[in-house]
Amino acid sequence: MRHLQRHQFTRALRNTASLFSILLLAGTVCDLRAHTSLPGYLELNETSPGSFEMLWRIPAAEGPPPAIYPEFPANCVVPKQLVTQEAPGSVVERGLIQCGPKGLAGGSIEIENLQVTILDVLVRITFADGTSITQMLRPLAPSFVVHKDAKSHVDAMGYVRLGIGHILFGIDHLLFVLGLLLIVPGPRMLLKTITAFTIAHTTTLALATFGVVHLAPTPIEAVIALSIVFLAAELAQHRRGVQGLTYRKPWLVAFAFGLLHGFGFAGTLARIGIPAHDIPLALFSFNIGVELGQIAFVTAVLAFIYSLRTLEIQWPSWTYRVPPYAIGSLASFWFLQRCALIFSF
Amino acid sequence: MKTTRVRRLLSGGIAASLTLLAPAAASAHPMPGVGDFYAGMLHPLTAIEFLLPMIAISLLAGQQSREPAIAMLFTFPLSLAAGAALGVPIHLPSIVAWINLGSMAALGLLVATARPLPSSVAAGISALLGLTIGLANGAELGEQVSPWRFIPGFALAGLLLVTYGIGCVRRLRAPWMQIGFRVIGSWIAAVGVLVLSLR
Amino acid sequence: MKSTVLLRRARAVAWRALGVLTAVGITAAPALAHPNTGLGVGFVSGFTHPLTGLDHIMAMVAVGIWGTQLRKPAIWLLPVTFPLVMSVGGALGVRGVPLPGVEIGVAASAAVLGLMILLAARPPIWVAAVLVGAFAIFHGYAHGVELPKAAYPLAYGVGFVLSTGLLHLTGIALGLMERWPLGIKALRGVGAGISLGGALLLFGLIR
Repeated sequence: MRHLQRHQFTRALRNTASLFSILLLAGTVCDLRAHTSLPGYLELNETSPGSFEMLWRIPAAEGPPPAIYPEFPANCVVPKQLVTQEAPGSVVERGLIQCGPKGLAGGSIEIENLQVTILDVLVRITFADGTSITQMLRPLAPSFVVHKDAKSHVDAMGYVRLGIGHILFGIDHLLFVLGLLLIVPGPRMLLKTITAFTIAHTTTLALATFGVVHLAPTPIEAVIALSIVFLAAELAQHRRGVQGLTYRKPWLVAFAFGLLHGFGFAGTLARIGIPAHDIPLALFSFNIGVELGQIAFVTAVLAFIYSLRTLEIQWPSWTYRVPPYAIGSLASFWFLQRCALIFSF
Repeated sequence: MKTTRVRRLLSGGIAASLTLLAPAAASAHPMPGVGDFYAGMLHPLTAIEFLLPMIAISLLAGQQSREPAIAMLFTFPLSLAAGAALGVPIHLPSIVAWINLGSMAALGLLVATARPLPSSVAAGISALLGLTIGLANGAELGEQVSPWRFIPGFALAGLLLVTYGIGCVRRLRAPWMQIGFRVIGSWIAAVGVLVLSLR
Repeated sequence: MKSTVLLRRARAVAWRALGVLTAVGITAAPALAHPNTGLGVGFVSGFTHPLTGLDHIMAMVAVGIWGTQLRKPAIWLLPVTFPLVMSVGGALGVRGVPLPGVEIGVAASAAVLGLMILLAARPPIWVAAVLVGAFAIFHGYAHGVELPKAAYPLAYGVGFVLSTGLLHLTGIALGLMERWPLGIKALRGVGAGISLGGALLLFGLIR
C-alpha cells in the first residue's frame, strides 16, 4: 500500500515536472493570456446642472487598449487633459464635461471606432435630480440620443449577449468545460455533469451579485486557473491508468468548481456596474447567455470529435497526451500570472 | 437505433453551433479589443473571399475517400499557418487576390462535379489554397497584432471548418443531401466566375 | 407504428433542413449583419435583383419544375449546372461581349419553359440541356450587365446566385407535387400560367 503511494507520488512529481517544462515553453514563446471579456463603461454623473463627471473605462486585457473614445454633442466641452489611470485589464479616464444650460438632453453620444471592434459599451448617465438612464452600445449601433425620460435601455438581450460573449471569449471557462468533456464518458453523464456545473455557478453568481457573499475577484480568478490544472492532471493521470475523482464522480467535481466559476462570472457583472434595480433582470439574462454560450461550445466540440471520427484515424498513442498537457500548461501559466497580480497590490 | 439518434442529434448540433457562432463571426473586421487569438479565428470567416473557398475545400475534403480526406485535413491548417507566417514579411496582394478568386471558381467546380482525387492531388490543392489564404491574411496583420496568437487561432479556424465539412458530407449520406453539397459547390463556383470576370 | 416512422422521417428532414439553412446562413451572415455597409448593400441588391423581374422569377421556378418532370438525371443535373452556365452568361455580360437576341431570349424563356411543363414534355436529355443552357446564358447575361455597377461585387454575386438558387429550389419543391395524381394536374396548371404570363410579357401586353 505504502509502496503504491510512493509510486504515485513520484509519478505525480514527474508529471508536474514535464508540465512545468512545457509551461515555461508556452510562457516564453506564446505569451498567451487568458482574456476576460469586459465591455467598456462610460459613466456620467451630473454634479451641477449641465456639468457631468465622466468616468470612461476601456477594457485592455491584452496589449494596447482599442482606440475607442466617446464623442459628445457639440454643446459639450471636453477637457483637453483627462486624468488617466491604468488598472489591471483596463484603462480609466476621468474628467469634467461641461454641456452648458442645454445639458445632454436631446444630444447624441457616440463611441467612436466602436464599429471596428467587437466590444460592447455600457453607458450610464445619472442626472442631478437622481434619475438615471442606461444604454448598451454595440459595434452595429455605436450611438444613441439621450432622452431623459427614456426607460433603461439595457434590455434582457443586452445581458444575454454579454453572457454569451463572456463565456465564448473567456478561454479559461472554455478550457474547464473542455476538460470535463474529455473526461466524461457518454451523453447521460455529460448532461448530469454540465447540469451540476450550471447549478453551482448560478448559485454563487446569484449570491455574489445580491451581495450575500463577497470574495475578491483576483484570487478567485487564480483558483479558477488552478481548477483547470486539476482537470488536466486528472486527464494525464488517466492515461497512466489512475482513475481520479473526476473520472469516478465528474458531476461532483463540476459542482465544486462550478461554485468558483460562478464567483468569476459575478466579478465580471460587478465590474460592469449594473444599476441596482436592474440586478434581477441582469442576473437572469446574463446567466441565460452564459448557458447558451456553454451549450454552443459543447456542441461545437462534440461536433468536432464526431466529425473527426468519420475518418477513423489511428492516432499514435503520444497524441493522447497532447490535450491534457496543453490545457495544463496554459492553465498553470494563468495561475502564476494571476498569483502575480494578487501580490502586485 | 440509438447511434442513429445520436448521429442526428449531433449533425443537428453541427448546424446549430454554426448558427450560434455565425453572428459573432459576422462582427466587424479588424477587431482590436478581442484577443488576437480570436481575431485569428474570426478573420478568415468574416470575409467572403476567404470564407467561400474555405467552405468549398471543406466540402471537397468530405467528398473524398478516407486517405485524401485525411491528407487535406492535415495539410490545410498547416499550410494556412505557414502562409500566414510568410505573409507577415512578404506582401503579394495582387497575385494572391487573383488566386483566391480563381480558387473559388476552381474548387466550387470540383465540389460540383464531386470528383474523387488521388491523395497527392488533394493534399496539393489544399496546401495551395491554405498558402494563398494564409498569405493574404498574414499581409493584413497590423503592427499591433501578435502573430504568435493570431496564427494558431487562424489555423484552428481552418481545422474546424475542414473537419465540420468532412463530418457533414460523410455523415449525411442521403442522395439529395449529397446533391445539396454539390449545388453549394456550383453556387460558389458561379460567384467565383462572376467576380473573376470583373477583374 | 406508422406515425412514429413518419415522425422520425420528419425529424430527419428537419435536421437536414437546418443544416442547409445554416450553410446558407453562414454564407449570408457577414453580409446581412452589415446592412448599412457596402457589403450589406451589395448583398441585398444582388439578392433582390433576380426577384424584381417577373419573367426571371417565372423562368427560374419553371426550370425547377421541369427538372422534376424530367426525372432522374435532370432533377439534380439542373440545379448543379444551371448556376455555372448562368455565371458564364453573366461573365459575358460583364465583359460586354455582344450577344444577339438577349431581350427576346429572356422574354421567351418563361413562355417556352411553361409550355414544356404544360405538355410534361420529356425530350432527350441533351435537347433539354441545350434549351435550358441557352436560357441560362441569356438570364445570366441580363444580370451580368448590372454587376459592375454594384457597390460590392462579391457580395452582389453571392446574393444574386443565392436568390436564383432558392428560386430553383422553390420550383423543385413545387415539382414534388408530381407524386400525387392531383398534383400532376396542378403542375400543368402552373405550367399553363407561366406560359401565358411569359407570352404576355413577350408581346409587351403586361410588364
